[in-house]
Amino acid sequence: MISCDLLVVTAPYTETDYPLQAPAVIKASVIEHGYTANTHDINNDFLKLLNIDVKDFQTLKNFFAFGTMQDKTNIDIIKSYVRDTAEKILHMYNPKSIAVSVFTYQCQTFSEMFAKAIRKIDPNIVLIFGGQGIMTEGINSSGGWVKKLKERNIIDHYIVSEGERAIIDLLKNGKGHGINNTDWRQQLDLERSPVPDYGDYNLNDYKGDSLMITGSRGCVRRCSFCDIHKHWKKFVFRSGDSIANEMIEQSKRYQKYNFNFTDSLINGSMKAYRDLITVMSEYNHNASHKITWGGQFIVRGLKSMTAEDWRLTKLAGGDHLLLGVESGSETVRDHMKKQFSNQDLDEFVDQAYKQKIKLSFLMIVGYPTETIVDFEQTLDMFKKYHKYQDIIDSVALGSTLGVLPGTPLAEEHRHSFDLNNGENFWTFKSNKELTFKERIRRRILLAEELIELGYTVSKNEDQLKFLHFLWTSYKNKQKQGVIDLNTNDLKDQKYS
Amino acid sequence: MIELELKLHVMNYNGGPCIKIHDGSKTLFNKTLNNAGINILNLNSDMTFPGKIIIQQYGKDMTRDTKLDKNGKILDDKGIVIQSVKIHDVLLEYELYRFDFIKEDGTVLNNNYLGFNGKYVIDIDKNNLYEWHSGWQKLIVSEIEDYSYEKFRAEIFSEKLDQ
Repeated sequence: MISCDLLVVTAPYTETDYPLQAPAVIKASVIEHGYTANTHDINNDFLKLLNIDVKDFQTLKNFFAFGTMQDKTNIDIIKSYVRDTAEKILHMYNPKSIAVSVFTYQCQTFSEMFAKAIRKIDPNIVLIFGGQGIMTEGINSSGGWVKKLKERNIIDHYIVSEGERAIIDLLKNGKGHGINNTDWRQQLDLERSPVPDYGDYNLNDYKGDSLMITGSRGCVRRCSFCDIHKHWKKFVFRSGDSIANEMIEQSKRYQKYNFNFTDSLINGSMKAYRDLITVMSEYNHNASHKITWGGQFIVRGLKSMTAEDWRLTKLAGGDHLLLGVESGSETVRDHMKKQFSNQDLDEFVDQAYKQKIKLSFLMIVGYPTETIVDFEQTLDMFKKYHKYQDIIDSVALGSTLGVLPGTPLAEEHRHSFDLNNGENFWTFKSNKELTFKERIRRRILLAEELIELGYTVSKNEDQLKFLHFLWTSYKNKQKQGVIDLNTNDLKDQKYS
Repeated sequence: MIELELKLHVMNYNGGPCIKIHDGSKTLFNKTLNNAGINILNLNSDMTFPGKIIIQQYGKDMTRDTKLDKNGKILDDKGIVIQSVKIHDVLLEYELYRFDFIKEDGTVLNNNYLGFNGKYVIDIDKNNLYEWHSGWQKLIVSEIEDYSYEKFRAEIFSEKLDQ
């Protein structure tokens, strides 16, 4: 049995093929300050249950993710699973404190049950909750889930937002910004964060043969449909050297050679980006195991991202970029404040094609100002890019635009919307023809056209099923719940 | 005060079903529904969440109150189909097939047809009604089986005006 000051665990249910980064970051930070720490990826243990007992997995998953179940006699299966997990964890690590990383809303049910189980076994263990999931409860929620847990003494503390600094304040002083309050302060110097410590993970357990890396937080844009600027007030980034060094160091330590950036955009700062690709291209030139990486990227024309930048991007290992293209219409993108022209996009795609770098297009169908002409321009764009299909890996069409709380659309344009009881059900006063039905119609047409052209539309069937459900709710004048605001898929997080 | 609206389809053979509705602590309705077809009940409750809404059928005699033909096929019956339940502004329809109907002998059925004596239980087991409803919505989306792309497409492309 290990005895540690702090054990950091993940909580089901998050759908991912990758090792979740938060516990590794917290562990590294805590160790740097002289404490002992371990991590355990309970979520991954849970995901492996799928290979052992599909029926139990589904029962547990539905209960953890959705908080409800059809057959209440199954509650014993769920209670046993949580109790056994708590006992196993305590037996393995004997921690003084346990921090639970509540990644999304859909981790709340397990986390709460787990905390209760730990309390029952050993009430002296200090329980701490953190992660985006402690606050993300959707517009219809009363909020305060985590506050109530603290009031009821189910947990001792909660940490809002960036935990790597706050956990140290908590361990040292028992208080600080973001500890049991929402007065957290954004960390402006990311260079000071230690390299994530995956020492307790069995990295061969994960299907996605990659590690996550964070080069920046926040965004340089303020897109009308996105709420990220609400959370991260400033765009802060690490130097290219620092990011490159982390990739090199981690690849040597863990023999993992592919990295996924968690950033909203890898190339937010072109200075840092150029430093990154310069160091990485030099490293890869001589490396026996070349490093590759990918993540969300901002579209830039050749004026700001040159052909030389593209050449180095390829040599540096850039192999898969996700682009928020959103629309083929410049007018629509201008309203979104995307700040790139059709020419910029043409140049970008052409360069990616020349360098054989894969792209994924993220699209929004039915933006409030989208006319039928704008929509046709989106269709035309995909016809035009047909010749680049070898590198356009996938197109994500989503489930039509939802007006999310905290976004400029929801705040600055609120008087122009009738929300009709749901984030997806809106109508826009100056474009009344664009009803929810019309948005679905365009969504269907675009998917059909793309498939006909030979593109891969990612998760098309699932999203159409979801739209069908939303449509049924809309027809019946039902209120749209928090359902659309949260997802258990790591790659599909809508909420910042 | 929570406003409840229940849409019930009544089969009134032999005078109609005796229906009692309670919210865990108080009986909100207790009458024989003798008008066949759709009955809308509007009720008020002081219930808090977590809480239960129980719709009970009682007094049915299975030997007399179901009319069968010589082959055992039901020709008429005494009972109700719960078509929708509105709790405040949360409308339950698809969810109604998922809740427990507990017959007097303890057998549990999951449907919205009350053809026996027993209690149909809407168990709101969270302290936030919307969170509870959202959980059901998500569960149903994850288990949708009757989705048909062709039907959905036809509906969306029909000329019928938007809502």
